[in-house]
Amino acid sequence: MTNLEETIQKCALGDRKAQTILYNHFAPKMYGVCLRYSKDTSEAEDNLQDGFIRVFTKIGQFEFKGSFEGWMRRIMVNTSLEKFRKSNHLYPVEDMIAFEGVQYSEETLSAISADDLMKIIQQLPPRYRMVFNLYAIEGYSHQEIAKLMKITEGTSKSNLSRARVILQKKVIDDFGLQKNTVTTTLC
Amino acid sequence: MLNDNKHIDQLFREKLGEFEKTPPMYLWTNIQGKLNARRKERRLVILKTVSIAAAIVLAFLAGWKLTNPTDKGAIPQNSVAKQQDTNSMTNPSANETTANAKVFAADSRKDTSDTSGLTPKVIRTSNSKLSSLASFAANTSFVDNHATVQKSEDLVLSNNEKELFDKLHHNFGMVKKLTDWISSDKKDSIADANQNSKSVVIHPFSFPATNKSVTIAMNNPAGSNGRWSIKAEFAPVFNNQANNSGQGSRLNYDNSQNNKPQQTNTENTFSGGMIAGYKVGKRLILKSGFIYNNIRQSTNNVSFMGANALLFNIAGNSNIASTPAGKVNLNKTVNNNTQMDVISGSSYQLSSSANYSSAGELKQDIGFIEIPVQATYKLIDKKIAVGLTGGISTNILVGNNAILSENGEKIGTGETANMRNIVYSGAVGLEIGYVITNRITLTVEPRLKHFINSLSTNKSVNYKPSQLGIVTGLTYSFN
Repeated sequence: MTNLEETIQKCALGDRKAQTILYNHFAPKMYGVCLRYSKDTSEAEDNLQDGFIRVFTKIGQFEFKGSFEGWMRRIMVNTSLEKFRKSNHLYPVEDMIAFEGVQYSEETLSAISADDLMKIIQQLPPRYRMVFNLYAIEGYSHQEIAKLMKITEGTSKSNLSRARVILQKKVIDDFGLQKNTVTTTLC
Repeated sequence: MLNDNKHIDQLFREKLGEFEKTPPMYLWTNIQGKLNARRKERRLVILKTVSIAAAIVLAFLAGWKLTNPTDKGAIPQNSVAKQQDTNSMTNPSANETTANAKVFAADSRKDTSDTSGLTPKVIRTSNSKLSSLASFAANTSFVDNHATVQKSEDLVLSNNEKELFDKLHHNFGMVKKLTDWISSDKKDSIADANQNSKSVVIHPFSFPATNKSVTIAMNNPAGSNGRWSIKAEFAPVFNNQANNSGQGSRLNYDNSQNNKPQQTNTENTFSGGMIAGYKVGKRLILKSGFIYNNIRQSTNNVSFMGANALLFNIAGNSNIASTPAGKVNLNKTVNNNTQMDVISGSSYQLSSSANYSSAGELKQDIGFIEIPVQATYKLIDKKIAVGLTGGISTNILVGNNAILSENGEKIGTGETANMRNIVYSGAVGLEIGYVITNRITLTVEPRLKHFINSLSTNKSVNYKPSQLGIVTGLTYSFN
């Protein structure tokens, strides 16, 4: 922890060695975050690059009150969201299909790799991808997502439902899973 | 089997929540390149800002020096010619003129701001100072001009002026260091390239776990501006009549003969300076810098008391006028006979110690360099921002001039007596800003300033003026 604090302080002073150390330690995790919010590796690399430049230019503002990794992650997420807002995506989306809850076996889960799921999530329409990531993985509420993405809470909920439907369908199609009806739905 | 509630969210969260992948190597090279470019850009901005600040300081100092009424070159040369002509035509006694000249010469040795200031040599000196100052300001190669300036044969500098040049030289020395710093960036880049070619040892950290519960909306570091900012400001200043509860002087006015009482009015002035800001919270900014500011007032039908040296050819400089800011000591003017001619319309008593009145106008100019410590709280922090500013300032006296003139002609100079070298003031303002870009904000701020202690050290003078400035500023925020 002391080492991290020292490194952050040195980074704030523009110490390049400290910046290299910090980058090498955090880059894989942050690249993972950027990949989830991007449509492909090229976009993820751009976001990671812009995100780290912001981290190093604003690292002096970090007040050591919370998790540094969390702070960094928020910068990466914000960078990705800004890029999304600027590109103003207007993708046609599939109609919501009726579905019921799905359950997977342990074998099925182990058979699906993270890389496979990453490809699936990257194929989502951009706005669905953003909402799904923010809600399902980062843990934000619809109210927070609405504020972040400048949309209504209703839109956020609707986008999440549609994202889930698409992801379900992709998982079933790609991995040939059997759909089992359960009592709960995913909405 | 997993429980029934496990659904697609969990599937993705578990598989991708802590997903890690090593990014390609070239990405770090790109990031370093961009960081270096930003550093260079930032240094250039700092250099530009420092240059602008130095230019403003130079402009203020040069303007102050050139408009200083006590400057020997301030009284126009044609005034001398006119006065000399008048002297030869109107003075009936040549012997008296010679005697006057002798006394005058004796006085000139005592007082450097006296009539000797009009000799050709001194006028040339003043011009030399001006041209040296201009060439000094124009010289951007940062060559050491200090020695040249000091060695100049024509340039006769007083101690104060030497100090001024020393300070300017020091400031330019700092700018030179800054330039060297920027030029050293290339060396740094080469050193970095060498460093990057070696393997980097990664120290183990005890990194904390990701805090997922923190909301993005609460703290958006990517969207916020940097902590440092710099503001150039300029303001017309409306000075109010100071409420002088003291008498200012123990003089008794005697204006009964012309029935025109002495009257003092304040005049509007301008102020300007540079303010650096540091953001200590989301809405709170601490500021400090320097502002040039002055107080000006004019007194009509000004009365005098003294040895009548202003009117007659008697050695001595005891002409004293009384104003709300205190006594004003006036030096003898260029030519005694001319003075008589100039003030011939005034009524006066011939006693050497009497009070006498004139139709002259006395202008007092008191200049300060203000060093404020301010706090601005942003009430609204949007495209149109509103902030409440308050603070206290240390005001350092840098100018104290008084000019007596009649019908537009300068006939005497001096200064307000007993001015305090350091005065404290308080100020409040309502800053309304328009965010032009992420970094540049245009602001307008009505600012009320009041001097906390009296400007005069004379206990019978309680001169605490107030000023209302409409401050226009341009703020640059560093990211």
